Amino acid sequence: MTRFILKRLGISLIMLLAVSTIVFLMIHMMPGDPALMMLGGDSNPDPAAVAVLREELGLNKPLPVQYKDWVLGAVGGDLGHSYSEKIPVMQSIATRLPRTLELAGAAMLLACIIGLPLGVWSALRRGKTSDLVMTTGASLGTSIPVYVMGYIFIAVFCLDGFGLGFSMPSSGYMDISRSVGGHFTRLVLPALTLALGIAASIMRMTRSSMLDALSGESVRALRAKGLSESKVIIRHVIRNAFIPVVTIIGLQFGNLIGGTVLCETVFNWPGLSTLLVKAINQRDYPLIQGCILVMSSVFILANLVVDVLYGILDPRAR
Amino acid sequence: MKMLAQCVKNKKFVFSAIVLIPILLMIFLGPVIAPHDPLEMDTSHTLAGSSPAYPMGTDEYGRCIFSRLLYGVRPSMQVALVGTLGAFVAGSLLGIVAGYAGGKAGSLIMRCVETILCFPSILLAMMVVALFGTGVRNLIIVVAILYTPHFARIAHSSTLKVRKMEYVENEVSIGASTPRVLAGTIFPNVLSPLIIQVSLTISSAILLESGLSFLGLGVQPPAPSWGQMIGDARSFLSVNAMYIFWPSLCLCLTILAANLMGDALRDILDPKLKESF
Amino acid sequence: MGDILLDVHHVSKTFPVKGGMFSRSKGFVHAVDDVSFQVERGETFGLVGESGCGKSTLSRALLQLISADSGEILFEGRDLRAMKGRELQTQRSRMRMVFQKPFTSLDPRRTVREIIAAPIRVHDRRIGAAELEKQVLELMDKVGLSPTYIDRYPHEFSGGQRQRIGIARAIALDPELIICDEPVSALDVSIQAQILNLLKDLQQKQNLTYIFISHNLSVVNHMSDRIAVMYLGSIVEIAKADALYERAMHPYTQALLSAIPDPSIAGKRRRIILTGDIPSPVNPPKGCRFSTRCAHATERCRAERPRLLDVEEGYKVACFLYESKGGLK
Repeated sequence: MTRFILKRLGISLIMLLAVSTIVFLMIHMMPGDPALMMLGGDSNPDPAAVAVLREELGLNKPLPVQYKDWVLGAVGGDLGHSYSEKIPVMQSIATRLPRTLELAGAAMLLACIIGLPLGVWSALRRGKTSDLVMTTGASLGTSIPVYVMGYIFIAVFCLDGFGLGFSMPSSGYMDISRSVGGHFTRLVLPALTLALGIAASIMRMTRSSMLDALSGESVRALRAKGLSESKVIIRHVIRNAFIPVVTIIGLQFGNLIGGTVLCETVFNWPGLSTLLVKAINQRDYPLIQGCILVMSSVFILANLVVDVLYGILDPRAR
Repeated sequence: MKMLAQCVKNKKFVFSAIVLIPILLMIFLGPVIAPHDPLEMDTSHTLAGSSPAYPMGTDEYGRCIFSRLLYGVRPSMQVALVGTLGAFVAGSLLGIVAGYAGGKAGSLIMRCVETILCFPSILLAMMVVALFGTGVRNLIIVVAILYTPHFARIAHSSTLKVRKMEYVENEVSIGASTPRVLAGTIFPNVLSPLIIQVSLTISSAILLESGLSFLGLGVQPPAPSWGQMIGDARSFLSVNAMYIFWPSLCLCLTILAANLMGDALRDILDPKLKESF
Repeated sequence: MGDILLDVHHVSKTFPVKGGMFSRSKGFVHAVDDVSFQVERGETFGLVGESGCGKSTLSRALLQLISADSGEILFEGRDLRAMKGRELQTQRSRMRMVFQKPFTSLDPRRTVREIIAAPIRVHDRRIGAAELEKQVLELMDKVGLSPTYIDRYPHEFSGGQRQRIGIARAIALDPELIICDEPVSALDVSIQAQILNLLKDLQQKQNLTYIFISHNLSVVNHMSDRIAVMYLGSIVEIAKADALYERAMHPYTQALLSAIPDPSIAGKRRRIILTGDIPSPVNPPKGCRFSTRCAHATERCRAERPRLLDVEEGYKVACFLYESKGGLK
């Protein structure tokens, strides 16, 4: 068991290394001088200022040295200096990361709460109208882009599109220390928006996995033994079906992070993704690198946790 | 042909075809049908509702939304179709070669290809766009790179199975050269799951491109793209709901149709795959 | 011995067993261990043994589908292992194989026409469509397939018919030698007879030499002129078919024969049940491979490996029991 965890840890470290290398190299592969781009954009910046910036960014050192500096810095928590915000990159990220994590976490939680039971239920009601309705809903759920979903919610709940009397705040962020209620009213819609798409995928996979488990040989044997249907379902089917679902949830992390990027923009949730978009628009390369590195690392970490969890649940995987 | 008959019988296939064919036609016929130049601004009629002159109203610059909608399909489809084709070719090639070669070389190829999967797709896309610029051409390259691993994985695992088959041994035993074996015997037998993936990748690519355009990092104005239109429309939700409604509807329908097509192809080409939907 | 078509000298093939995180080799499977035999032109040389004895590996090594680790494979006097490229390709058309499983030996995506034409096309790029069709139809006729089947797909045929297609494909380039690797094991008994008769028929008409591989001793006996018995990668006995069937000298062969339910055998043969475990091919016993299960095993058997020696004209056995009878080869 420990060997399995160590092995997965090793693989994750390699992935982190690969990611950081790619992120690092990207800056050096782009056409044009990064410093020039940062200062000027379209206009012609002062060559002296460009030279100063190059020195600051360490662009004049040989490539392997730059890489070493960067990796060592990253491990130590120093991701460089944000040009647009005039503060260390780490500081920018540190303020925003918890907010993105909160949004992503809430969304994943909601997605599981919605998707898992619905998946189980629709598998049990296979072929009936309720099943058809739900599977169609799930199909829609995976086809509607996050931002469209977001605006539908805004239209209904904030702008009172259906005249139902809702008027929730559609944007912004309120620190929880200021007002718990205010904080959560602003969290609900973005989290729900993000959650629905993922819930749809989870629902589909849970349903399919349940159907597999229900038709399995072991279930037939259990029924033959005389166990009541509900006991069969609860004790055996769900437990067996649950294992591949863990993998599915793991696979959804990619969608989750992608979704937060769009969701934060729709709801003006000041998280890491909006920071990234801003950085891209302002060509703040140290900040771009930092954000992508942190977000990818979270992704890899999440996958590690899921893999280990899977290993715990399914001895065959070890 | 038996295949065609099976396609027509499948409800999902028919539905998605009904949606997708007009959309594909829009690519070519858009300019013909559009009542106005999508870039033409009519400043006296900004954010107007629908009227005979402007069937879906106008945007904040007075441009005809309907015309922009018709033109907007092109960049999305270009990125999705060409990018997916690129991913299909690159991924299949890498996967089949890695699977056939086997051993350390094969594993190495697959490990390298799979590093791309360490990134959530939109992040990688944003990074490429940030460094290399926006525009349809770069987006096509991004899509091709992003989805190559998906095709490679499928091609690789299928090739591993097919390679052990005796008819492949026979091909080698009659002296067929390796390229001939790969292209003539292995490739046709691993094609089915790859085709299913094409459909799913197209829908993911559309989502990606529209997401990027929405953020302002995809197709640049004034050229229209559905995602971009939605992005622009968000400030005007309360003023002209049609502005955001139509591109959203078209986008959702297209993605839904592409997804359903993927499911339909899965039903037709590989009924052995358990019903996942 | 008559005109020798295939001369196999001390061929060995081992496979590393991979395991661990970095695919380290944990051991070696001695699939084929120092195998030598000769096949005369025009005869049917039977190769019999249980699953895992190395018959399939040997057949692949003969066809150069896998590369043997050591030894020589002389086809008409020339070493196949030393050939490359063009030369090897020409030789390939003269040695073909009929495979065991009718369901995986034919490309499901190709029609009968394409399957049978493929070898012809590989060796003659410029052949015209009409000429190709003529040759394909001729071949289909030889194996008893109706010409109407030419554009059908493998899944539309029964097991026996698919084997016929496989046989047509094998004789397409007029080969000298055909290796039949368990060609009827996957077929129903009634069909087996038909295919075996077809094979015998073709042998006469096309002047073929067969290596006939099977785990079924009675089938091998029916088809073969001479038979070699394989156990765990080595040949333990080679003799003429009738002689082997009557006298079976090696203890393993005796056990195999005793297991055949044959009501015609006058004195009811006592069923020899082998004791002991089948040794793992990864760690074969130091001495005679069969020593762990042999009722007659001695200390010498466990320590030393017996060589394949002539005990009389045309009869070779690898067993210390008979050493006094024969001289060195």
